[in-house]
Amino acid sequence: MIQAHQLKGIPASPGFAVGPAVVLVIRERRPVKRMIGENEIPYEWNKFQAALDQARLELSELVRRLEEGGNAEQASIMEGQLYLIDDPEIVQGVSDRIQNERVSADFAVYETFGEVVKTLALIEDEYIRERIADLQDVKNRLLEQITGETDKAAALLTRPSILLAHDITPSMTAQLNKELVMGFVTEVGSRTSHTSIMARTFGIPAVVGCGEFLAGWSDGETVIVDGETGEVFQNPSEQQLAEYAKKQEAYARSKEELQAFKDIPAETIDGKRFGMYGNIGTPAEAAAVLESGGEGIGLFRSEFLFMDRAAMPSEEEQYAAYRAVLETMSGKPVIVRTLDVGGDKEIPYLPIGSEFNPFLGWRAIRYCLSDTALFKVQLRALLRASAHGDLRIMFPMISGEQEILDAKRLLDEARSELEAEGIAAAAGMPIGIMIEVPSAALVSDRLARHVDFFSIGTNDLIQYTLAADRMNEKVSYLYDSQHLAVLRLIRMVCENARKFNVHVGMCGEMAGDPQLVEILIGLGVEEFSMSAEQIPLVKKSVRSLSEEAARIRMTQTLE
Amino acid sequence: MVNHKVTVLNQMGLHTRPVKEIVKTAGGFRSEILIKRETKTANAKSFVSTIALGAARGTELLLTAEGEDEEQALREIVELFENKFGED
Repeated sequence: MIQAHQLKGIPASPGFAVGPAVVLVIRERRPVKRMIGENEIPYEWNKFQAALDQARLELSELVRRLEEGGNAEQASIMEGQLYLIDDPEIVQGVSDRIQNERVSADFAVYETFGEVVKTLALIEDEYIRERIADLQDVKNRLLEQITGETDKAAALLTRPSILLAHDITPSMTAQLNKELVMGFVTEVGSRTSHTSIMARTFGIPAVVGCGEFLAGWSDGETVIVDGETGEVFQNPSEQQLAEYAKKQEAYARSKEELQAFKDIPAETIDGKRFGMYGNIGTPAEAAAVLESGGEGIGLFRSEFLFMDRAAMPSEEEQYAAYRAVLETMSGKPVIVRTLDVGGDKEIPYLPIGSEFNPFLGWRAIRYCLSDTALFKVQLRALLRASAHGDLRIMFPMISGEQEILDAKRLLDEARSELEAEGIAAAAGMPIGIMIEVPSAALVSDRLARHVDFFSIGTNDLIQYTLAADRMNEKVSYLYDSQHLAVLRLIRMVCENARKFNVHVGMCGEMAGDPQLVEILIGLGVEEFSMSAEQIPLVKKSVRSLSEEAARIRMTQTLE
Repeated sequence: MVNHKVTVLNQMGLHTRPVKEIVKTAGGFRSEILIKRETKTANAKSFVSTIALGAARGTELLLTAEGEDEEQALREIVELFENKFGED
């Protein structure tokens, strides 16, 4: 046995997997130039035609499967590739090369696509350059057909395995039989990259961002993936195997136990019901919220649509994303938070620049109210999407009344524009704000006049209230979610919400902590929004408590 | 042969979706349909050729159509541009 390697990456999807490795190495296909005789022309041409037919068939089938699976986003990417297959310029280019230059079909395809890619690479437009990836995908598909060498990704998995790859692309995801994937380990990626989101969506343990490692691993070796710590072990010892068998068993047991909470309400022993919602960053994550028994989306962080790209998403693209979430949630409420940029969230193509004090600087609603063109695109997309479900808009980083009035005025403008164009938006869409700045909490009685709901963002509320950066080791000890000042502010917000009849929820990290549920119920929080995997845990906690007792205890604590 | 000048009016320019619409519409006609931008000429029935024009909002283009159904072909393509591809 080869000496065992051990990797440490980013735990991207929880759970443990033990199984045989499949190492996915994708090399660029580079056919050699082969000259053909005149008599071979019809043969090579037919090979190309047959490859086109087969590729068209495969892609149509793939699109159909993705659509049936409710995966509209990926279906539309693959559908775009169908246009490339029937492109007359590409067919002409390949034909010229076979007939006139007398080269074999595979080389003709390689050269023709190479030329097109070169032209597109010169265009200074990221949206257009994105098509290059599609061209490479189609080229590889055709070359596969012509040469008969199937790409490993397609026919890859014949038994349950752990997939080790540089990265998992959308077209690979579309081909994979997820039933056979026990775990993912990748060289690149972060918690928000495609692989991670997909793994969480399908409940497959994953570790990403391990750095370069594929060269030292082979197919069939036993691998352990620890989705909790981010560790990956090659050829583990008997002792490690036994240890992980136990962990897997415990994990499965607790998951099963929590599954029992999926369809029962989050109701206290004295009969008070609380709302359980999910936080998401991309449309694909919405399904996991439903799976965990979530009653809606309490926070859709729309900034993820704007990150990891070179230009802002168009109105169409945003509309499609919001609509996809609403359709997945089929009538359940979906709260979309408008672009929350700045602070620690950088979007390189926005002119925010580096600030001396970014958390107190030009961020979130402050930025959006000054870049009204960008903000309007988002508001229009949201209004258009609102026709497809129960959409609610939430503005982040509100510090006082004027910002709400300004944001609502822009929303009204966007609505009138759409009306003038004859486009429908839902009437009376609920509007809410994040309460994450202490000033907003202190004047929440005034703010309540202008909105339908509050959502308390604890991460920022705590750091602003205590003036402590929790990422700064020297002062992080001051960052205390249970500081009396924080608890009093939360209670004040909840009391004002009740008095002025607006809903009050919480979507910060505190809301997903089962240990804090009693405190939050005691303070008057009515709705909890958290990552999907926390929902059953928090629900379990709610069901063990008495609301009345929690309130009495909290009143005593706050004295 | 018939021709017509158009300006790209939609916000995003000739990106993926508008080009698909052009290709789809052009593909329904027998005529040869070309889109010219300065020195570049694209075949309106080809996705890669049309998208390679890299035409952003505000770009002026010359459309030409030649063939038995040239009048209607040109009219329908011009209409796509004028309706901003249903975008804005």
